[in-house]
Amino acid sequence: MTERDARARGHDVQEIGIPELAALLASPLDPVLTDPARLRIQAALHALPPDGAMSFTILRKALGLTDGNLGKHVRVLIDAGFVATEENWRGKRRTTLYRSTGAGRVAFDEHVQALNAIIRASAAPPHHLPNARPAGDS
Amino acid sequence: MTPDSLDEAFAVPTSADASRMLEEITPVSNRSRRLARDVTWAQPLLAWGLAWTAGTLGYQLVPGAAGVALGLTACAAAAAASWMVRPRDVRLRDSERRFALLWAVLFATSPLLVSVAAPASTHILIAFLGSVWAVGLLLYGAGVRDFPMAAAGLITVVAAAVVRPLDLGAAVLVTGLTGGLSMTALGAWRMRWRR
Repeated sequence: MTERDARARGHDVQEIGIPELAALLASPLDPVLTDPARLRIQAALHALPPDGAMSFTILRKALGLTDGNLGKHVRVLIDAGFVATEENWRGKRRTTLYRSTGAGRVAFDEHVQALNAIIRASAAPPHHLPNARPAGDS
Repeated sequence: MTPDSLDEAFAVPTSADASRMLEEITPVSNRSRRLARDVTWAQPLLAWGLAWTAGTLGYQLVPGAAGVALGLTACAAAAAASWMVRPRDVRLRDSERRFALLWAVLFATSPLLVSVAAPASTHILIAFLGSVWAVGLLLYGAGVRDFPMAAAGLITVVAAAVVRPLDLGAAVLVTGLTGGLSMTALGAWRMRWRR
């Protein structure tokens, strides 16, 4: 992606220095969130306040995924400790609510930061990259 | 699939992939917040909007104590409906619960305010009570950043304040219908989550 493309997509491509770029690139991409469906699930839960939660039905409406697909990816997020479940009883009816854990919020923020770093690194002029060498340097 | 097995298949996304992923996040986040709000408030707003509208018309059309009783019955039905339809699919955050509690306190203590103000007529009493409840709506909406809800409360209290000095007879009708119809419209709009 060129700098012009990045600007057209609304990303901040202002020139950044090597220390800042290195700091951005140090933010880890999380393998669990690399899958777009899981990233969207985590985003949906991250959008709620820290103590907010929603049911499987509402999560499915927010994402437009099938039951099977959503269930499979939510299970991975639960196993990774990014999503927690709670049972909510109303009379004899039970509803399972899903919420993002503290670890899930940190991982999501860092993952988004890492994605931004990838975009900014690709848009930055070559001489700003940490491993760039001056022309003619062998 | 476990996170360990995910590591093996892990590949750093290209900048185009990263850009696409980020572009997908924002609409999902917005939809998630909107759904949480819709699920929580659609039915209570509908119930209260219809109660205000029906109660106001009942008070205007049925003379005497029977009209007042009709209005109070509509409000009691709305309060009961709000309790019965409280959402199971979404949990409010603690701060929103606290604002909802403050709103309930204002609602419950509003008869005391009426007693203090000692309005000279039933018309003024009802317009005053409606304005106090509309301020509750406004404060809740402002507190939890639910601006359509805050707007409904603001429009209602402004309508009441403008009409009251001009035409006391129309004050109840304008206050009741402004609040009732705005809450009904907002509640009906928020029922979209069921579609």
